[in-house]
Amino acid sequence: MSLLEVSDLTVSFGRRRVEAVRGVSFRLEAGQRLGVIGESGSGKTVTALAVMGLLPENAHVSGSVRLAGTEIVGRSESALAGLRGDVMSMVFQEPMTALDPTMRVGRQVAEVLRLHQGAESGRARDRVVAMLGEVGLADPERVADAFPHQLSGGQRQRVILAMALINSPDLVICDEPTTALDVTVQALVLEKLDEVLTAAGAACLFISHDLAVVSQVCDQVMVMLDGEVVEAGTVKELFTAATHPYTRGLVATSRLDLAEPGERLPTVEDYYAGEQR
Amino acid sequence: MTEPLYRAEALTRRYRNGRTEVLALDAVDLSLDAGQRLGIVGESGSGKSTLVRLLAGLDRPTSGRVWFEGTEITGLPERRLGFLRAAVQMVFQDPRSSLNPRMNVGDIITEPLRSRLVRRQLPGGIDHARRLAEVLEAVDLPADSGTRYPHEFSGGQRQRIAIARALAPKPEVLIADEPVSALDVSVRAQVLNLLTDLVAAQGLTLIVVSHDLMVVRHLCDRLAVMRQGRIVEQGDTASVYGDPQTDYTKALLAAVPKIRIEG
Repeated sequence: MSLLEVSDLTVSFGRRRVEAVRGVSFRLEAGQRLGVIGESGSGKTVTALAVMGLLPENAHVSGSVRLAGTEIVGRSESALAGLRGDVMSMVFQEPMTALDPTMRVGRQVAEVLRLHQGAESGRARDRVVAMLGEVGLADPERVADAFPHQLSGGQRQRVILAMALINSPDLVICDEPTTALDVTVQALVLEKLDEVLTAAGAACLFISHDLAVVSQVCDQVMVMLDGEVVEAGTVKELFTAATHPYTRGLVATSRLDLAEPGERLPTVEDYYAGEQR
Repeated sequence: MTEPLYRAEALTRRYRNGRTEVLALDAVDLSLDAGQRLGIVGESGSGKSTLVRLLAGLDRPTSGRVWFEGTEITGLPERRLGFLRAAVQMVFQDPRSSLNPRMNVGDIITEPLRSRLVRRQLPGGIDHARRLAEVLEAVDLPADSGTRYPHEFSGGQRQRIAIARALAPKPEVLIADEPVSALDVSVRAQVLNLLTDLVAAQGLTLIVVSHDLMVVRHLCDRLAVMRQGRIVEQGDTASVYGDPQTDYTKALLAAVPKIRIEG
């Protein structure tokens, strides 16, 4: 049995039933990391939300999402709440909106622990401070007592990482976790993510539009376009032998470091003439 | 010696935040010739956006002076900055927030031409409709885009609208503050190609602010690396990339994500 098994997932919205995701199937084994790559509107975030059971009420879902043998689609909110933060957890793009601005971050991390493990507040603090240290925050005691606005973007994102990992979940879903960060901070956060995932042996579904970023964390990649999976394989396979023209275009555009300054950069349209973007 | 296009001397900007004072820009000197393409890189808070805001006359320095084409702009009142407003245009990071959602694209793009300050600087009788058609073509947007609204366009197209608006008054200098960092990688190449072509075709002086060194390397022939309000390294792009002198520049270069292939 795979840790996560998505089969024929289709998600549509509203009365006109606009399909955001069409017939997506993939599986993820324990400890495996899968990158989901695609541009805005390709359905990658909707896929992740479906896995977490976080789709809005106007979404129509068909197909199946099984997490550790349990069906997610059609499950009640209360049943899902027990899974979230415990069996699976998530890291979102914008750490400022994911944290409560009025609460010290130590308490916010401890809350996750208390909700799922019923730990007492005094004992929880030690675990929280240890976890904040594990994600590479210098002076974790001070960070635990700080409010979100007193931390930098990179520090906040690592607090979110600590929150997502403190219950040792089997699956961590990261939706563009470093897109809002500077390159130097991004490099640091990715390195820590890699470390803590390895230490916890957790599986990861990593969503990004940037192939280079995905390749820092994942070996397996799935390419989404207009709600469908067009190609999947290892990073190496996609780079050396992509079959879909869209994937070849993505690979070409991600190599900004190879281009001669000032010369024309390859675009996705050179390879794949889809809709006008 | 001819006067450089831009000259800045000991530019300093402090921001007051309650009782604490932040030194955003610390005695920066800068000189830029017409036709040069300058990239300014650094992390958040390094002062790079503050610097270009001062150059564009959108903010005033706490101390220090800026000259544009030999005229000091630091002490000038807004009503006398028309020449600067016409000659220097900016493109911002996020086209979702920099374009007014309630104006149609044609009005957005021609708005700089209607500005009272800018209008006086332009040769009389600019035909707005014609200029709109020209800049839409320059940024490769459909000719009928003018009657549509920003929300009808994708992120990459919206950034083209922002660029078209900046081009409308035929500026000499284009300042782009993180022009592609809010865009998908797949759209980034298109916008970079567009900027490269426009700068070459219209002989623009370009100033690009970015935390992404690869973007700056691609667009610019000169590079300034900023940290904590100071320029810590500058020179022509190839030599700074090939042989970085400070540890900070080396760290910035090392942080650029590269494709990692295992197995």
